[in-house]
Amino acid sequence: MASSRLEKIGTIFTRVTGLLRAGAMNVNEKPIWYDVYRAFPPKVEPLYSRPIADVPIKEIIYPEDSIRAKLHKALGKKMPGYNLLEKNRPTVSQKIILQTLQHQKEDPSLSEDEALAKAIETYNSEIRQVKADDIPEDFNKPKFGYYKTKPSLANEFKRAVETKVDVKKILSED
Amino acid sequence: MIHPCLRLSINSRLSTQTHYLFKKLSTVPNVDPLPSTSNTESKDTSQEPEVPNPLRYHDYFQVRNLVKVKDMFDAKVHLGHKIGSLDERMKPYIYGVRQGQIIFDLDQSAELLRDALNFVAHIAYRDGIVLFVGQSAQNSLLIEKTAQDCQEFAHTRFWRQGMFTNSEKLFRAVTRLPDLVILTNTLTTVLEPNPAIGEAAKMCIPTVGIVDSNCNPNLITYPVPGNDDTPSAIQYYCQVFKTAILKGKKAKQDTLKLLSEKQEVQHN
Repeated sequence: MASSRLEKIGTIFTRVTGLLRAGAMNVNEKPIWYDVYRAFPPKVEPLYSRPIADVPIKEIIYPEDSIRAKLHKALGKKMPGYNLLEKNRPTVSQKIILQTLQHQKEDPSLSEDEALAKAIETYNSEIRQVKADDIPEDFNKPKFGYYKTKPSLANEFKRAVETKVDVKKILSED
Repeated sequence: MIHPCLRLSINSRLSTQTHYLFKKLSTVPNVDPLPSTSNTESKDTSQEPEVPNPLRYHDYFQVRNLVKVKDMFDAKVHLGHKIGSLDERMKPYIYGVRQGQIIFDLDQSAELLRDALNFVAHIAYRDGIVLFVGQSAQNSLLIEKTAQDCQEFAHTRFWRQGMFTNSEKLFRAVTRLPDLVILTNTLTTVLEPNPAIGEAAKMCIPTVGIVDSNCNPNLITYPVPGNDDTPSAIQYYCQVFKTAILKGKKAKQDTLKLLSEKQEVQHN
């Protein structure tokens, strides 16, 4: 095909249009994409030398980020892991943050730190609840991995919250 | 300084030339690039040719409704790279930066993906050859499988220089080049732009490409900003592109069937 191979000048459309106009390419032999491109051109012309748009890039910050920062600073690696493929269940940090906001809403006199400490305590008792409910009916046939994973995760969190983290104390240091 | 009268004559000549060009090249009458508000069934079809012209419809193959922002979000299409590796030319497609990581504006990406899918379906309808290209080891099997499923071609390995531009020497035979290149990943394994993009542009082959925040979208005909590494995102792109191609091919089969039926009726 007799066409220019200088891909940085013009676009594929302008180059083929030039060939058609000059008669170097027969109208019946035009590439099959040509009419489609004409009917549905791309939003931005695919020019190599397109000038760079001067668009400011903004930071994405949410109002509850201060709570999230405090929570992660307090618990850090003691936070339990979560499954990336699970889309419907909120993560532990999401749960605690929602709980904190709820506490603040119910009692506006609570400071953020107090509400957070309360939320962590609530979550901790919730974990204990789950653990009590989870006891299998038949102890002779325990679920696979039950003794290995579940208690250790809960214990880890419990230890984190109860022993190391006197949250109020840690937060007051900052 | 051009004399005003002269300028007027130049202007008029230019306009007539462009008008002539438009008439000469025009094979697509009355394209409505926006979806018509009135129902398509209420259109007067008595003057229409026997077979509908897909170019006259905004969404002939019904591929635009395949794309939903929620699905893209769930497939992690919105996640870009760290801000340090940003290509300045990707700036307009970015929503913001979260903790140093770029987040794409999925509203824009979805719209661009819809346009790209429409283009892909049209090429498939016109019996075009589609080539899937993408150099990432972890996704290459998926890409090849997608191409196989829609009876098209894939090349997910190292791109030898001149596969398009010097194909006859390289393959030792006259080679039919593809009519469309779909890139699920526009960078090579060493983070250089894939030479396939430049070669396709040289040979006047349109490209549809997923561009991440560290890619150059300028030479790609229909760029779609989005995550090009995560398998869930690649799975999503492969699935929508496959559906678009299959829809285009199905529409072609339907049209051929309609034509043969009409011919039979006329024959009888």
